[in-house]
Amino acid sequence: MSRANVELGVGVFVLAGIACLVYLAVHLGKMEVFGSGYRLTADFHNISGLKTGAAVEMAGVEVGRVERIQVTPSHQARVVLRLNPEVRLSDDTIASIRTKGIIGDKFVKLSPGSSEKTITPGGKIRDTEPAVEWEELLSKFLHGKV
Amino acid sequence: MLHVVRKGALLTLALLLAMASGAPAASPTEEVKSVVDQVLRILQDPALKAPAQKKKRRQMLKQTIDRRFDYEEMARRCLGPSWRGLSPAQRTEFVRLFGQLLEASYADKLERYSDEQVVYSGETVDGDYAEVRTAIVRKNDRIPIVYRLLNKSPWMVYDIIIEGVSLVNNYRSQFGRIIQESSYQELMRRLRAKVDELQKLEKL
Repeated sequence: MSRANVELGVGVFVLAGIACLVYLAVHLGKMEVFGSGYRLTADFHNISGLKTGAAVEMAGVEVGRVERIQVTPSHQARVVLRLNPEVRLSDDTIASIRTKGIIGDKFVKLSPGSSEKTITPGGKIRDTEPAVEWEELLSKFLHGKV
Repeated sequence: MLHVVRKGALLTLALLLAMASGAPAASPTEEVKSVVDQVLRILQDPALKAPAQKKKRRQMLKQTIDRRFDYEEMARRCLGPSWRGLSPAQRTEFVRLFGQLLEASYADKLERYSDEQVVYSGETVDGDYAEVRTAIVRKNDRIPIVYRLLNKSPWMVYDIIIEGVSLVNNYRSQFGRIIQESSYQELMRRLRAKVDELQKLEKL
């Protein structure tokens, strides 16, 4: 009788341990298995090496992450963003690809607009700004345009 | 049965014909092209190139561009969230000043035109929104320009992206910063000062 209780106790303990491990793996790896928040897509002409997992920022605050990147049939980059549930975007929000510092990571910057309408989950950010190739602009400026 | 099918086909044909001939809904590219062509025609007109004609030429350019540029939409988008807090009178005032700012900053750039070619490389239409991709081709340079349009029958331009930099987003971040640091009144003061400065430069 008591032996059965001990075995049950050990079983529960092991299960709790495994649950803790799973929790740690999911959180440290930033794997959003159950996916809080909602998805939006945005098409860019050029994302210049934006990576999955890159930050999505609004007013400098991280409000989401880049979940997936694909190429559309019309050769644009389609970026799927996962935004925190409390973030609501007006439908004239502009998404731009920016670089942290001069040679830092690429991230998606959102500039909210003034429209009363908001983009519904699963919707699309229509106004986008591609990544600016700073190196090209800089070399044009330094060496002069032909 | 056959009768019904034939009737349906006739109806479809009639509908198609009505759509083709009835409303002359120009595509976004056609709209942009008509404005650009007309602007180029004015700029190339030898009769208008004389310095004495400068004012008249500027007026003609302004009229042509005004027809297809939605300044209110642009101004609203440039101001961002602060737009919602403005009274109708303030909005009208802002739109007017913004129009002047655009005119003062871009007119002389436009008038420096010299034989560039404009090429059209496609459009994307998504409901009431469209994007027209063009490029200005110089002798050995190519500047990509994308027009964003909103269908207000006709299509109206609300943003221009030059070399990947959006006009609206440029102003949105600048205006936003000024309002954040000081106030809307300060923004208006700076806009007025900027317009004055540009207009003075123009007169020199």
